[in-house]
Formats: sequence, C-alpha cells, structure tokens
Amino acid sequence: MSAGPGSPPMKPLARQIALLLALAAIPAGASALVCWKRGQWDAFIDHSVPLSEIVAASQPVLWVDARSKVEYAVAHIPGALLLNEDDWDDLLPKVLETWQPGNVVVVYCSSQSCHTSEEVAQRLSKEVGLPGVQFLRGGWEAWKGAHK
Amino acid sequence: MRFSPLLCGFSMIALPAMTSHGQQLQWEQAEQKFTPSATDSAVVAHFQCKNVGMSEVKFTSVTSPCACTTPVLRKKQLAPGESGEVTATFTFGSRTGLQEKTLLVESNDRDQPRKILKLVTTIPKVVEVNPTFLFWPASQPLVSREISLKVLNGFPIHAFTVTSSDPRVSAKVEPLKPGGEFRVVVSVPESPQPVTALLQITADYPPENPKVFNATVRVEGRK
Repeated sequence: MSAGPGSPPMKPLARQIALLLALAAIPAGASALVCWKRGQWDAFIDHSVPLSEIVAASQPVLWVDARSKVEYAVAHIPGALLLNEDDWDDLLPKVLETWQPGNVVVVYCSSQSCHTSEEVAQRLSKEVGLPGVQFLRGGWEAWKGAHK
Repeated sequence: MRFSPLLCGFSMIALPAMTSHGQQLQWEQAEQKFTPSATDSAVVAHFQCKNVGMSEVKFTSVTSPCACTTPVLRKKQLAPGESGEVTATFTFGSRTGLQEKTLLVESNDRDQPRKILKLVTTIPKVVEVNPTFLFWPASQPLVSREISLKVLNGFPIHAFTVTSSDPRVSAKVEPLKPGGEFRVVVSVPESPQPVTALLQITADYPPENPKVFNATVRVEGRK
C-alpha cells in the first residue's frame, strides 16, 4: 500500500512492524488450517456439574469413584464406591446393590483433565439405565480443595 | 528497501525457531492406531524416538493418566544420534469402541519437554446387551422382563446360554430374529427379603474363549 501524494509518508519502523505482523500471520494461518479439527473444539464443551450444585441438592448422592484401585485406596470421598472400566464387571454389582431409587449418582475422577468419570457416567446411564447420572467438575482435586 | 537491525534480528532468531524449534527428540509416530480383533485383550505400542540434537537427552518420567495403559521406557538417556523407545501396553478391560489413551513423556528436550504420545484403538463391540440392570422396586408387580441381545459387526454368534447366581431368579434365552437378535426373559420370585442375582450370558464365540456378558437383577423385598 503506497501513501497518497498528499498524505504523510509511513514511518520506516511502523512499516517494518506491519511487515513482521504479516510474516507472523503466515505460519499462524497455516497452523490454524492444518490443525483445524472440530473435535478439538468439542473438548471445550463442558457437561460436568460443580461441587457446589451437588452439595446444595436435596436428594441423596451416591458417589462413584472412577479412578484406579490404587488411587481409591489412598483416599476417596466418604462413602464413594469404586467403579472403573478396568474391573467393570467385578465392581458394578456393588454399585447396583447400593443404589436406591431417588439417588443422584455422581461420578468423579482425578481432576478437570481426566475423562474417565465422563465415560463411566455415560455407561451407567446408557448401558445400565440408571437415571440422573452426573459427573463432578474438577473431580477429586475439586473435592479435596473444598475440604482442606 | 533497507532492513533495520530489528528485522534482521527477527530473521536470525524467530524464523529458525519456527522451523526447527531447537528440537532434540524426533518421534517416529507419536500417534499410533490399532484395530484389534474380538479375541484380543490388549495392544502394545512401540513409540520410537531419536536424539537429533547436539546434547544428551534425559527422560524424567513417562506416565499415563489411565491405569489401563502401562508405559515402559527402555533407556533413560539418549546420547546425540542415539535411538530409544517407549513401549505402552493398553489393556482393554471392559472398554469397547474408540479409545484414545495418552502418555506424557517428560524430558529435558528444549522444544518439547512434555511430549504427548497417543494410542488410538477401536475395540470391536461384539454384542449389545440392553439393559444390563433389571430392578423391581417394591411398588412394581413382579412380571417377567427382558434383556435384549444384539450381535454387532457381523460376528458369527449363533447361540447364547445364561446362568443365574440365584436359583430363584430364572433366565431363559430366546432367539428373536435370524442374524443375531435374541432376548433373555427374566423372572423373579416374591420374597420379603431383597433378592440380588448376577446373570452370566455366554456367547458361542470365539469357540476357544467364549465372550461372557453380565447383567444384574435386583428385587426389593415385599411386605
């Protein structure tokens, strides 16, 4: 873009900054095109329930711990039952014996970044047919943070 | 056009950084895909890497957020030009469908000190059992109920057998449609005590190690 006959000339530094920005835009644009995947954006859609909402609920809660056996043995939410996909068939009967109609089933895993609670909640809901299954936002870390 | 020191500096520092990233570890296939058979219970991924830098690379840890995936690091440090490998065994458990398991490799690599490796596995689902839990609350009559069995993905299953852990709970398999649709008819007893039973539904496939599917039956006590 050239300056008009009457307009002041663009300062060299400003022109170079504009050039640098244009240079930076090339790899950024290429990266956006190469890495564009719808799934990456889907990951940001959050269907979890915050701890405050669960604590405020009037219905009794059945906590389900979707972490590993080792993590569960170290510490877990009081009353929580272990259920993960490593030992699903062995662990599920205990959950189903304990569950009562009217219970809110809340599944949790380690932290915000784990997905096992979502997977276990989905199986409890779809395969087993339990109503009102949710999973805890922030998982065990959120619980620990609130109960220091 | 005259180039100032600012632009020259950018060219000398930023452009090489954008292309080479000062990378030391070069991974051959950081994402590996598997399509196991119905008889497989685990897959093993071999992630190979090479130190293409000028200095030694030291690994500090290799971890997986899932207890189902066990990583093994063969060499904890790689000299320049040396190759290494991370092996990961993903044990399916009861998982089916698309599974993405990750490993976090931590090292002193300048560019990627925290490298993510990925195993993408599509575990075939052999049979859809629905529902896997039958519950009779005290308020509901004790009429027989059904569990549907649908053979998926063309697996050659022609028959199922079912056993109940409680003889008072009876279960019988009936074929519904040719090509893989069955139902399990479940009848439960009237009892003042709650009744719980585990149903084991066994397919005739694979012949050497038949697939077993579980369902739970629970009846609330009647007064």
